[in-house]
Amino acid sequence: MPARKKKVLLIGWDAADWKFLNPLIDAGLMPTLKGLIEGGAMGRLATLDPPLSPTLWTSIATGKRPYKHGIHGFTEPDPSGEGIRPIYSTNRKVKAIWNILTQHGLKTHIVGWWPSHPAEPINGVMVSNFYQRANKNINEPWEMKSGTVHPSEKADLFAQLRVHPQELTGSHIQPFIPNLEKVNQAKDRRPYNVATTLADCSTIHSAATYILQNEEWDFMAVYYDAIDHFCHGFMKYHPPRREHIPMADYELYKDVVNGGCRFHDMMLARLLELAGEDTTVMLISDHGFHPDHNRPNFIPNEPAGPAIEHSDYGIIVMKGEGIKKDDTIFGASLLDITPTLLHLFGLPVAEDMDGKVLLQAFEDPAEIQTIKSWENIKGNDGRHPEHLAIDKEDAKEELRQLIELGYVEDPGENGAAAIKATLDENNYNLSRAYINGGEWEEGIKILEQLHAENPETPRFAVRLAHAYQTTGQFKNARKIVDHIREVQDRESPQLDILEGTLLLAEQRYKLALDLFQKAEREGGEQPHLQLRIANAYMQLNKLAEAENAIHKALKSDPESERAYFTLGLIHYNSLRYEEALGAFLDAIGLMYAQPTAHYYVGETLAQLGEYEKAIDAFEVCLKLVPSFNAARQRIIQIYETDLEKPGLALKYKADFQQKIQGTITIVSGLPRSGTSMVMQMLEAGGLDIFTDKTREADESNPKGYYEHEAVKGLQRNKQFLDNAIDKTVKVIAHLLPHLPLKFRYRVIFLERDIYEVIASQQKMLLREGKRVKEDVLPLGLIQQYEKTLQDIKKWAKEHPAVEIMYVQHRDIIENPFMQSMLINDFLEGGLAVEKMAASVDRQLYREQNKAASS
Amino acid sequence: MDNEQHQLSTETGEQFEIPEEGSLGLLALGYEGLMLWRAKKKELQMKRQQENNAR
Repeated sequence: MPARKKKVLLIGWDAADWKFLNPLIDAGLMPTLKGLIEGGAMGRLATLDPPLSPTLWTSIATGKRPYKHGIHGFTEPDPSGEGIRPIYSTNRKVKAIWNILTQHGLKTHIVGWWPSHPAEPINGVMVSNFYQRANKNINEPWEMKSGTVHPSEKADLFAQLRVHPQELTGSHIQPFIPNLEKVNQAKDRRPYNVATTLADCSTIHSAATYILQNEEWDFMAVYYDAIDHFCHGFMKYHPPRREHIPMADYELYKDVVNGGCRFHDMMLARLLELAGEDTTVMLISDHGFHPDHNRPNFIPNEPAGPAIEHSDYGIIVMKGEGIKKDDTIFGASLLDITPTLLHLFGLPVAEDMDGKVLLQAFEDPAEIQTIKSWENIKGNDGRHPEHLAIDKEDAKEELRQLIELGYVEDPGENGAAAIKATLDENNYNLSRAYINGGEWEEGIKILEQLHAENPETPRFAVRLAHAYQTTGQFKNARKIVDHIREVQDRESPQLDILEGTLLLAEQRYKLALDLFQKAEREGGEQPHLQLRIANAYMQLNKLAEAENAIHKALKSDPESERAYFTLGLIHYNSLRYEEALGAFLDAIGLMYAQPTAHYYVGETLAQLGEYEKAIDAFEVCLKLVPSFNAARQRIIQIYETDLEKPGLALKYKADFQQKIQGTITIVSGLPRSGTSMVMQMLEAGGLDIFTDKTREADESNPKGYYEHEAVKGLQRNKQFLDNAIDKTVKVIAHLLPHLPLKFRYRVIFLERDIYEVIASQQKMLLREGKRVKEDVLPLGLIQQYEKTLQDIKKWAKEHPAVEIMYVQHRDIIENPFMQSMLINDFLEGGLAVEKMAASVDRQLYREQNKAASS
Repeated sequence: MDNEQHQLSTETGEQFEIPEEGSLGLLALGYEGLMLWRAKKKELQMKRQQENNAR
């Protein structure tokens, strides 16, 4: 695979966020960044969960999620079993971009990447993340730990390039703290903290500029963590001042974050100058940082608690030959960096990477080459040999450094307790990574174990409850919520919000609303509480109240795209389409990469008769999420029905089939139409049934219900269906239109005489001890059922991914073998037809029929 | 940039005197700025030492 000769410079600015960079750019205070943006493509870079720098920067460098790359936190148990040690580069299980480029003979240099200690023997210079921090006074020897620099013979040279914080003077600090002379530095450590951060990043910059000037290079990556440190220390003093921040502190430290950004702009100018015009530059951050009303008032006292200050979007700017100019990149994730770098070098992207090439940044994108994986490609890739021994004393010192930096708690003398806490923490992070990657089952498994071993740790329990709720396991979620209430033994608005959210998912909207309102009364305004209140009101069809709640949400957070989106939904449901359109566009204006908002713009425009524009909106939706088949379906409908141009729909029809992500077999019908009987037949025939067995067999269904609790919440949450591919799911008729269109559905729809259905339902309710007026024919219900059946037939006809077979309940009872044969044919064969037929207890159903109609 | 004379020049060729107390601009220049600043400090220190010795 020949590599195209190209120079690429990757610059990492931890925690950089457009929200605090843009005002500086607009004021002309970051001219280099402005030039980079104007000459290239820029956008927001979505982060991952958990938002921990070692895991995020490893995902950036590998294109893989943490459960693939193996870096889950700041520390790990020491292999000696005597305590814990920092996470090392040796913990990474997969190749990083520098290993792949080394394999291709490209000169590759890495400075400060986290974690990169001990430095890997790549084809170039690597300066590890333990290079910059001075831990002794300036008069004492500042030793370089072994493994800090590759090749090791350059270690002495790089040692000379370090800047000690005590070497800095007032001239360096005053741009950050203009009234430095007013600070009593004997008592206030904050100026020294500024000096430390400044010295650290100057050290990194010094090494990076040395390499750029003195080494041949094809790829260079340099990571600066100073913006993150300035933000964690001083964003609380950033303008505008909040009420709880003392005026004196505000006046002293309000310029630190801006000062840090401006210094980075100066360093950027030097990097670009040294890299030269022919270099492709990529500037990124791993997450953002709230500079505004979203700043928290307190930091939770738990591991990685300060991450609450991070925002979900970092930055990306790309500039170079073949990169679009003054353009915007949408939908970028930090997982996309390594695939994009590989593409820039003309190398194939691995299919086991989780990111994509950011093709939209390229003027004339070349075809993407792929390989299955880079992991199996042999050759010297510059990784450490397995079981590389780490010096114990170095490890202890490095751990102390992490403690001083505030990344980990002091483990104390109890080694066993430290090991347990570290393992729990890393497992907790791993569970979050799985959940973030949509691997709910794996994530929940780990959380269940953590919760079982640590029942009194609320954050494990809260996350487990949330995971259960999202995957539709409401009973399990309920148990956890009740457990937290027991353990906490006190009222907590946060717990009320958690339980209210669960009630919302359980469709118990009134109770949910009551709890949200209680949380509001007792705890004041909480993040996203008004949004939840608005959602509850919307479900209760109290649209005026929902709108009122949204206005409250917008008052506390005027830049909440979710609030504008919800406001759009409220207007849409109130048939106020002009206002809905305005609100959806406001939401998109705040955050463009919202496919659902674009979808609703399309729906609203279609309602307004603006069909061509509606198609444009659905197209944007498909650009953002190519598998969004609901948008594709609407384009097909508009071309075929509204614009009467069926020829233009053909392309979308073909794409529709291509984007199908799997097949799910559905058994459906009105309640008591024989769906459980058919589920039982399919199970006997050998199909895999998607059920949680929560609803147990009873007199009404002696052989079981074959249901899954999550299905009840299909209207709100469709994620569980990812686990139902190639399985059979029972879905009640009125929920069918809520099935997402990314799957192919084979629907067996049970039809039964509506009077029999209603009679059977009434018998069932009586058996359950509920009050039923047996002597009154529920005409309204009959009409409603008839309409549901009509709607389902229309839905099935309109959706190309739905194949439906209508089966008469009576026919199954009368001739189970014949019906089993027909069902087997519909499901493309392979079922044990005789067993299916034998599973039908004809006597049972005859008796039930008799009882129902008597 | 002239490392020997511990001096920087601007884009228009004007000489820039390196301040003894350093500056953010020098740090932003990277290792060259750092080396020039350290050299300047050393030079001035030696100069003062020589002056003291001469007194």
